[in-house]
Amino acid sequence: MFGARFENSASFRNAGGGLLLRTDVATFVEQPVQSFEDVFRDSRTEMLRTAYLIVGSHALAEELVQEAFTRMYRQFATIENPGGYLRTTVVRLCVQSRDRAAMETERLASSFEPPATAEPEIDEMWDRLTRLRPERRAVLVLRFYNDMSPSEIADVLGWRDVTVRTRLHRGLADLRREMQR
Amino acid sequence: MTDEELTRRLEATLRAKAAQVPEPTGAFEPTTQLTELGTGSAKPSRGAWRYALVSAALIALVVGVTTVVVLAAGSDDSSRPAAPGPSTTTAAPTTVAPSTTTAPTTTVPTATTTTPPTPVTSRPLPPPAWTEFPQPSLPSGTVPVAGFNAYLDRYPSAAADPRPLALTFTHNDPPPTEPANALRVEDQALSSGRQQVIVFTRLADDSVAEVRYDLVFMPHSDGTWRLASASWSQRCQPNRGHQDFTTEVCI
Repeated sequence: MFGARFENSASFRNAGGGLLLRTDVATFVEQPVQSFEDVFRDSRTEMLRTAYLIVGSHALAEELVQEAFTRMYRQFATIENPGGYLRTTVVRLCVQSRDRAAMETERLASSFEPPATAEPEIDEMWDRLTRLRPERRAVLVLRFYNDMSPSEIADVLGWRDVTVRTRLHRGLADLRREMQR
Repeated sequence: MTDEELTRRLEATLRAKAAQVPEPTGAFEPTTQLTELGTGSAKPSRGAWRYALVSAALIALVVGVTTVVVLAAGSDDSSRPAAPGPSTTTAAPTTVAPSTTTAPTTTVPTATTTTPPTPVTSRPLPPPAWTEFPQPSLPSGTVPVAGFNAYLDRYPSAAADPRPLALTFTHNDPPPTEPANALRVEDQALSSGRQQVIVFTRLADDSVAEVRYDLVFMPHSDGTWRLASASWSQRCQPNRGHQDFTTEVCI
């Protein structure tokens, strides 16, 4: 299943994977210069949703996204690709968020959290998904929500390509195991 | 549940839950966030205090041990002319003191004036590091080499020997020392070139046991080497998939 999906993805068909594609884009396509406010306005919602899917808490996701924006704000002038920097920072903060989540549970308890949906299938899958470890959840979210190729995920998380593929495979296996319980 | 059904449900769930997150409002306020996050002028966390205390204790310990050693050495030297007796160590500082007070006045100026300035040598700069990681194509496992050869064309001084080249290509220059035997390099002579087989063993992965790169180097016209081909494969842990080197995924 995983192999078939990978081979069908557009980024894989560009021989060499996402790295070459991004290099080409970075070299030959002139990107419009964005101000920090532009990036903040355009990316905030998407980053918040990605972070929420990984950490499973809306309030914690807001904290992590704000932290990512704060880090980017302090060195915005030196960042060549703000979108990529932001996504990488958000996802890595989310993966490392276990300790932080424990620390901030009390403070965030009264914050807004999205309620259950009206569809039992979705609620059941979400419940199982939130039981996975953050790094496996991150791989699944980047692959199946952000539609990124394993090479692109490897760049974002700072892992090897092989590691991403392995964790993607295991994440799905864990999910299936949870669903069969 | 089939694989397709699982991924379909997963995608539907992720989209539905993401859609529940409302669009945030408000502008960015960096100062407020910095204080909240403890990265600005906020007080350090308990962990930071603990590190500071441990560091201070270690420094004090090192300074104390050094002082004792220096005093002991001084007492050994000065105790020879002193009268023998049980109190040689306690008498040492008092006998050393006069000689040490006169010593700096004669030795320190000569030391500062006789030290020659360090000559500035103009050695050629080493080539910049190879920054791209091998990106194998699946299912063949072939790794593109054009970029690496272009790098060698720009910096031919780095292309003198296939073995360090292989380590550079796989980002193992210098080779790792921990864990022990984590990297195995086999050099094989071919009819017109050399083959370097690099095997990463003892991976911190309970699924993949070993990862292998087969790199074939051919001599270039200028006497240096170029990478003719590269391929990637892996071997799984016991009971986690194939036990030979292939490009199949381990479970």
